[in-house]
Amino acid sequence: LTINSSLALRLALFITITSFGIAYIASEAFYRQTFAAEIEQSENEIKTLFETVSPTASIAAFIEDAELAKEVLNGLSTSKKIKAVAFTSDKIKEFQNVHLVKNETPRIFIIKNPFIQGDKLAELHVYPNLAFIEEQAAIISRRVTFALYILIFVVTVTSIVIGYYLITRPLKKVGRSLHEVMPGSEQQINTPKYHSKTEIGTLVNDTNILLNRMYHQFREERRLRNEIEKLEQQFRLLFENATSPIVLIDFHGNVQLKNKAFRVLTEQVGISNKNRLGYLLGNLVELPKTMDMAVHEAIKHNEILTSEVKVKNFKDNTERWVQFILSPFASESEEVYFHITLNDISRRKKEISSLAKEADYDSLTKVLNRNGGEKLLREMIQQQKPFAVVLIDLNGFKPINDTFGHDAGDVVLVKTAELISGVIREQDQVIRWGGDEFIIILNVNNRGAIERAMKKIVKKVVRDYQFSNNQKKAHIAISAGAAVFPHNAVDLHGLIRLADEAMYESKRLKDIAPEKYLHFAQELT
Amino acid sequence: MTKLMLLIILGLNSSLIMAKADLSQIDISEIKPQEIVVVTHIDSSLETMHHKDVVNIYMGKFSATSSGIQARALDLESNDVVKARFYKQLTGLSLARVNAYWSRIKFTGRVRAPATANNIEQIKKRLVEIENAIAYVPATEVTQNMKVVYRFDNK
Repeated sequence: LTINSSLALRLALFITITSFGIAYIASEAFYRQTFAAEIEQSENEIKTLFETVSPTASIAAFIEDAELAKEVLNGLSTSKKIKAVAFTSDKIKEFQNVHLVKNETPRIFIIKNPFIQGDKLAELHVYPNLAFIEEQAAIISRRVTFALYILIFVVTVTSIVIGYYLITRPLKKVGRSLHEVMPGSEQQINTPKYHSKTEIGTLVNDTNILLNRMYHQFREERRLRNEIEKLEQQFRLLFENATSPIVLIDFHGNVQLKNKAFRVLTEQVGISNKNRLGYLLGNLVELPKTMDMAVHEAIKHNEILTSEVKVKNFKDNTERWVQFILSPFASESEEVYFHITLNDISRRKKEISSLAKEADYDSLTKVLNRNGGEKLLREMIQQQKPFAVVLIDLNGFKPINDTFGHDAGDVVLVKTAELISGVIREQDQVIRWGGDEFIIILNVNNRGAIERAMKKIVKKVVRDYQFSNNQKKAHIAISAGAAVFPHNAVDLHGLIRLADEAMYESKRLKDIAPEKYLHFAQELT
Repeated sequence: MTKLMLLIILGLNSSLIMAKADLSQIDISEIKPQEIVVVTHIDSSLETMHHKDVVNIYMGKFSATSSGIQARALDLESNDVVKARFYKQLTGLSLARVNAYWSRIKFTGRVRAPATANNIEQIKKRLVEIENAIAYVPATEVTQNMKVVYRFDNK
């Protein structure tokens, strides 16, 4: 219990110091005043004593009676406040104890004629007992001072006791019960007895109001927190259990949040380290080059960006395609985030590609049809690698159709395609261009190589056909025309046209010079 | 011998008083009837008296005037109006106070109270009998045999 920790002790100390300070100053003043008053009182007493003896003294002086004068002096001497007295007139000189005083100034009283006004008869010299008077004054002053100290002491003790019982104790009580209150609980503090109308009562009341408000606030906050928790749980469930991989990406392109489906996807393709996902999952999916601009546009207009992208596979060769949906949004703190959803579209992609394959291949011969061929040629042109196009037309095919029927014609076409496919290199392609026309794409760029390839083809393709239901044989030969990219032409139609022209030259000579079955586009040397 | 000396002294004194009397001659015509005056026998050596002399003689301090002439005071019995008025005028004190004074100093033995007379007639008789006797009388009682030696209003 130190001075700093106890209000009561502090109050007591302050009251004590202050009151004794006041007591000291007051007592000093009182002492002085009392002392002065006592001295004055003594002077007055002496004066009064003189007044008392004055008539007798007057008579003594008048009748010049020394005995009477002596009597007066005796009377005066009875007072302890008078040390010595002298009665002097023309005829009487009476002294008492005058030998005791030295160099002291007496109080001089004039003794007048009792019968004639203004007639001075004698002088009475009174020497006050200053030592005694002062001592008396000091005693009285000390008593007054002592009484003052007693009074101050009593007042101080009373103040402390009243202060303790009236203020400190109830305050302590309130403080203790406030200390025991659990914040957010419904507990209240009791008002100390007889304090319902005092400042302490008001304090307790206000504190209770505050506590009550706090309780309600706590309850409301707890309720809200529960609601938020529930909502969060629901969101988490929704997010975690979504079948599509979903990620939240910050402005720098780093993944901040990912769901279970996303983790499964990364595991399946062999990426598990989040740092290797790259900007906007750039290490996971093959983002087209045009994506950057599209992303910027999307952010600018706050639009959703949808793209079909291929997932990079680090584990095996299974192709995975996803619909890449990127929606930018700003958080409450104005930070830009991207929400990316990856919908697995691999199966659909597969279906589409198989559909495309069907469209590109000839159902009869199982080689590329004109549509697939044109597509391939365009791709090759785009790749800017030199290649040769050889257009082949079957000679003697029409009669087979007419004589042996369409089935026989089909057999010829299937067999021809099969034979060509079997003879050309892997990097070369055969296309059924239409009817009995085929195009062979050769990855070569000189005449010799084309001629060598064609020789091998002719050796196989040019042959006789025997159909089971007929005794007659059918002969199939070819007429061919070649054009080279980019030497002869740089576009698809140019190439085909030139090859076609060259082929017609061969066709023109098929009967007269069947060995000249191959002609080249004219510009080619 | 003593008588001779006394005579000489008296003679000296009277001559002195005669000289003074010119200065303080009391004019009887001015005296008002109700006024109290101090008188002596017409033949007395006393001529005029000072206030202090009258006080000293009547209050028992001296039996002679300041000029050295013996004088005997005659007083009226107590409770007389004239007596009260006389003392009041002489000392400013009431008769009771004067009586108190006397009872106070009687024991000292040094002073003697004035001789008393019952009334004015007796006073008149005594003035004749006692040499240099003085008395106070109302102005109306002053006779041919008396001379006024002191009057209060003679200022």
